[in-house]
Amino acid sequence: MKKNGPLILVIVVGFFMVLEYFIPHHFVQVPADTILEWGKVIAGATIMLGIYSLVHVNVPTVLKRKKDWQYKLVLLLGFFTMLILSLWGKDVGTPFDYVFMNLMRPMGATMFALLAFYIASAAFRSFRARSFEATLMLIAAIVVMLGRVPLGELIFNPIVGAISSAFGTDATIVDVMEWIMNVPNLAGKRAVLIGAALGVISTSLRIILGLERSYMGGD
Amino acid sequence: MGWLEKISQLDRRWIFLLMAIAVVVPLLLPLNLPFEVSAPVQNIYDKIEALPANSYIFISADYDPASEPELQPFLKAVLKHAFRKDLKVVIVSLWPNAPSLVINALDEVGVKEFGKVKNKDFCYLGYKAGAQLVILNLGEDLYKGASTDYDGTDTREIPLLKGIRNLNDFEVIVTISAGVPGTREYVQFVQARYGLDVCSACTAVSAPDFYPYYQAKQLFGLAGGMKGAAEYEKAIGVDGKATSGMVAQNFAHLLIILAIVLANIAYFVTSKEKS
Repeated sequence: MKKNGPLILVIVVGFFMVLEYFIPHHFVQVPADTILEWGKVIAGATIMLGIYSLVHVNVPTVLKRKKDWQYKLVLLLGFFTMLILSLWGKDVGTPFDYVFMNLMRPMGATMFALLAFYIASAAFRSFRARSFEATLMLIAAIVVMLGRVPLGELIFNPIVGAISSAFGTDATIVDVMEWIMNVPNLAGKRAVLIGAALGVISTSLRIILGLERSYMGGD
Repeated sequence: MGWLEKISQLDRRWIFLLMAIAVVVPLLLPLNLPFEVSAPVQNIYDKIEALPANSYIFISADYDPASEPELQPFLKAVLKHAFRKDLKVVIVSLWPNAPSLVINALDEVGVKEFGKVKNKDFCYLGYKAGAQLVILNLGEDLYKGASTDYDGTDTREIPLLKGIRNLNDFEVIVTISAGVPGTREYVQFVQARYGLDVCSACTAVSAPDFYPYYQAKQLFGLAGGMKGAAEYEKAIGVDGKATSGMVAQNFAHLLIILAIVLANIAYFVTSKEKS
């Protein structure tokens, strides 16, 4: 039962969710709607599980002064502070909102902003035109970057315009960027998407039919 | 050691410093460079502009403070556009850190700028756990997907939602997405399933992933990153945060391009000399 229980559950749930898409009959729709409701309840319960796990893992580490306990203390303090502040409401102007907008928000934005520095450094150190393919990628990247900013349009539109007029067209750097995004990028993305979708379909079918059981921790 | 060799071995801290200058200095200068509104962004504007007053639009704000500089300006711009046209706006979030950003945008644009009333002109359903399940639920029955709003009010009691059954009752669905769950899930579970009009504002890094959906008309519009938001601001005739942020992005992009070109010149010259 330990193995068959989850297996039967997955087969039944998977079966109804697939059928629901194709058969608009209450015989299928009602169980499918119920399953969706269960899914939402489970998703809510996982948040509680996450809170329990957070406390269960981090509190003993702090109490026993294990490695990096200071960071875990900050994590717990942050968690409980926000939890307590939320008791006074979450609307604009409340203490919860104040802390979120003045601590969480700038810190989150700062972390993401660091990417700009690392991308610049990584581009400088490793983006080399070592082969034909690498050169193509490099040129495409530069054109897309230029097409994404007004300064690129301002500087390179006359150049691109002059080249394109020699071929009897009237293109801008944004047109070239859009072409790169809409033709070569799209072809590659579609190939990946279709490949991944076929993989998902086959794996899902194997799971629903009980052929794939690795998600239960087995082989 | 020649200067090109010096460049190829440049300490990355110099790059960091140059990047900081490229981002900070332009923000202090009153620069305003002209740019065009691209077709994918214009499509979003045209669609919303064509809606009659009191039409319903649904916004899914699925991002957090990390992507706020790119996506929050778009939310504010689309809210301005919607409120200016007296459209009814319903918002949900599938990301737990989005609510504070959304309520601040609604307060700033909806309440303070346009004098709109909560639950009469706009409604925020808050964060809903369950990702794709929530989208599926909203598509079937809005009240199952969101039984209460952000304040805990029963959604069946909200005047704005009277007559609304599910996502089919919205003229336009706008997903403002920084990742998963986000645009892709709305395309899979809403557009493909119910054939609704879905458009997306996403981070610049994820825009290439959504071009296949745009070309297949599964997304009728696409605004990528801060540029997309700036273009939308231009379309509605507003000078917002995205437009001013583009100045910094201009120089940051140029610096990266310059770094790549210089590094490649140094690489070729020094490797030739060595060989």
